[in-house]
Amino acid sequence: MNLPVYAYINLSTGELEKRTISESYFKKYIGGKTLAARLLLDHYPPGVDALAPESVIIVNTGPLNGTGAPSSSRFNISFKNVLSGGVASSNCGGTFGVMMKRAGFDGLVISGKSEHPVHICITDGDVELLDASELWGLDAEKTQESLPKHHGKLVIGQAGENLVSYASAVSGERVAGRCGVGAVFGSKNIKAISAFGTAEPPVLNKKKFDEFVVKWVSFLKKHPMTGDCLPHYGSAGLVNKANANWALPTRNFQRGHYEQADKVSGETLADTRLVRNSSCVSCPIRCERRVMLDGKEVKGPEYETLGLFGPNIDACNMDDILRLNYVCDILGMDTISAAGSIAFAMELKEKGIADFGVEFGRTDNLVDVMYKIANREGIYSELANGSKWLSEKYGGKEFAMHSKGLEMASYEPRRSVGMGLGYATGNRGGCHLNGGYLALLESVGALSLDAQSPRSKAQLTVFMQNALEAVSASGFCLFSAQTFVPAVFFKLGPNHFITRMAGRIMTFSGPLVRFILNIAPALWINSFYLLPHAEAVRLVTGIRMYTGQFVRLGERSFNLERLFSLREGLTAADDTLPDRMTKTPQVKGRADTVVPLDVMLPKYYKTRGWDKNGVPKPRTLRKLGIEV
Amino acid sequence: MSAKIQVKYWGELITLTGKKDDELEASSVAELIKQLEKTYGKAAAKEGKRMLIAVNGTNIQLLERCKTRLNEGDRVAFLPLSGGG
Ligand code: SF4
Repeated sequence: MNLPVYAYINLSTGELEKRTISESYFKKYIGGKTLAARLLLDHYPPGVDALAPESVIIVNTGPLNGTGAPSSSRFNISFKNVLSGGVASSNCGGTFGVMMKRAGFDGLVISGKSEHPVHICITDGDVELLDASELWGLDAEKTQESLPKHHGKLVIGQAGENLVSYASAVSGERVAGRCGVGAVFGSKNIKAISAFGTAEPPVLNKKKFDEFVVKWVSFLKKHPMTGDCLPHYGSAGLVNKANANWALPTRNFQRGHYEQADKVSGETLADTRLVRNSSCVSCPIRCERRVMLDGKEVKGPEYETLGLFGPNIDACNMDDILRLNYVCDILGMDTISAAGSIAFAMELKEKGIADFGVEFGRTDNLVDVMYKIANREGIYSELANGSKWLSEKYGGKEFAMHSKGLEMASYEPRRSVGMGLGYATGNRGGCHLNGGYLALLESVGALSLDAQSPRSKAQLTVFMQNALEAVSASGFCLFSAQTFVPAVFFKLGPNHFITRMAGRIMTFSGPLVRFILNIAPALWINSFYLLPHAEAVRLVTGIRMYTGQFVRLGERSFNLERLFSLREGLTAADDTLPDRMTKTPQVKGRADTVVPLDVMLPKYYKTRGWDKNGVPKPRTLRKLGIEV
Repeated sequence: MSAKIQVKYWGELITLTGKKDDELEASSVAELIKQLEKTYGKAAAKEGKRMLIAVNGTNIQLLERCKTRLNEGDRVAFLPLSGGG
């Protein structure tokens, strides 16, 4: 069995050590965010601040990275969440992960703080700590231009250097955006990590794997979601759909529908700005948008950025959004949290509480504001702390749209109540993906559950969270899992009787889903139609991985992250949403347009095998083989 | 009574109708689909039914589905399905 090799780097002492992960850890945690969660529990000193020198950050890959499997270039960064104080993981599709693996390392465990800006340079089995003082102050784009051309790169911009709480790390034009990873890099004086290598990542059963990949790519190309919707419109295609279902956050989540949303939709983007679509390494889905900005071809915005720098700040200027997307990327700042914090500041101004020079409907000054935030200039330094911090200083907690400090993604949970449960329970906070992404089944997809009903949402959220954890841990892009909605529903469309009936039936599927979760390890089947990723893991590693074990792996992962957050002081009280979502109906007089979190949360804890305080029961940990 | 409806096509419907914007007369979504069939053929109507249909920006699934009434000047968009996140 090829076991993962990690470089342990202490930046304070300059010590470097190569360590092989034990077989038992590999089999149980495989890699990516799951193994990283285990290593965080093992190595992170309890109670240490996310930005303290003693903090630990893990940059790692999954077993499928670099193997040529579809959508398998995603690498992971796990650390202590700057915004929540709990766990954080951030995922990125740049070339860095694949290159690090080709250079002989599956991951890095970095602790300490360098005395000067540092470039961690990895080449074919060697790790060097180079002085990066000359790079300090450069944006993410210029920093990458200054690094060796053929290296995979992972860098921060000014936002990370200045410890903006939602600073990102950037690889090529792809971004590990959420939870403040850039600030953790900045706090350790890490300006850049680069890697170059020539080794082929190990694949145990190469012949069968190659055949499997060919079949899988063909399946992805034929499936309407991955072969048509995503390549044509990218995630941006969700704007009009979320809007049509009143799930598009508008004016800081005051509403869920924006009259002029089409002006910033994926369809309009494709029609008026798209130059071509592109992809991360080895991805046949090619969801990335390429657009022209000031005569230069750059990466276009994702759905989240369009929604949150558009309707959620009462604006619909596509040019400004393209520019803001680019500027956030080069400054190294998460667009979701940046836009969410700005929307909150706009509402503070509207209510006469505080004035940061930003107001609803106005985007022409926001590029300037972004630079000021990234450089922590004057009062803008407060915006750099995120909406939770702002609400603690100025008030307005009921409309500070975050969970656990992480700003919510661009789905209005009052029209997708399962997504609301996901935001509240997501380990990293208000993240749609870590939250199980029920929005796809409630308000933006082909197949629709009853979006207002709490029925079955606890069980489905648990199942989806577990499945997405395992997909991510293996090194895959989560979009590759969206083929689990059968193609037939795309062909029939959302208005067809059969599609509507299937949605209704799923609304009652809770007990069945719970049963499946309980007997998961007995599901010794692998299928293209549910999670083909399990078979890929099996062929690459030799670990006996089938759909059931794969979902159980995700469950182990979710619980490990939960344990880290609980250890660092988070409690059940943090599994919550702002009052606007749980107490104020989106539509006046319609009591069902709030998130019934109090109904769903106890069921969620029960399904997870947690006690009423949201703590995993000893029995649950035993079942998952987790030792604390 | 039929009303003049502003129609917007996306995706495959642009190819099938040869248009992005249109004006059709109908008093309900069901009738609009019939108009689509009459004007552009069966394939266009079939494709239209398969898409997410929004009346004045709202999914007909949140309204009266195909029975949704249409009034003079209403906007109907036929939107392609999407994914991502
Ligand atoms: S689906 Fe999109 S984000 Fe995912 S790997 Fe492919 S190109 Fe990258």
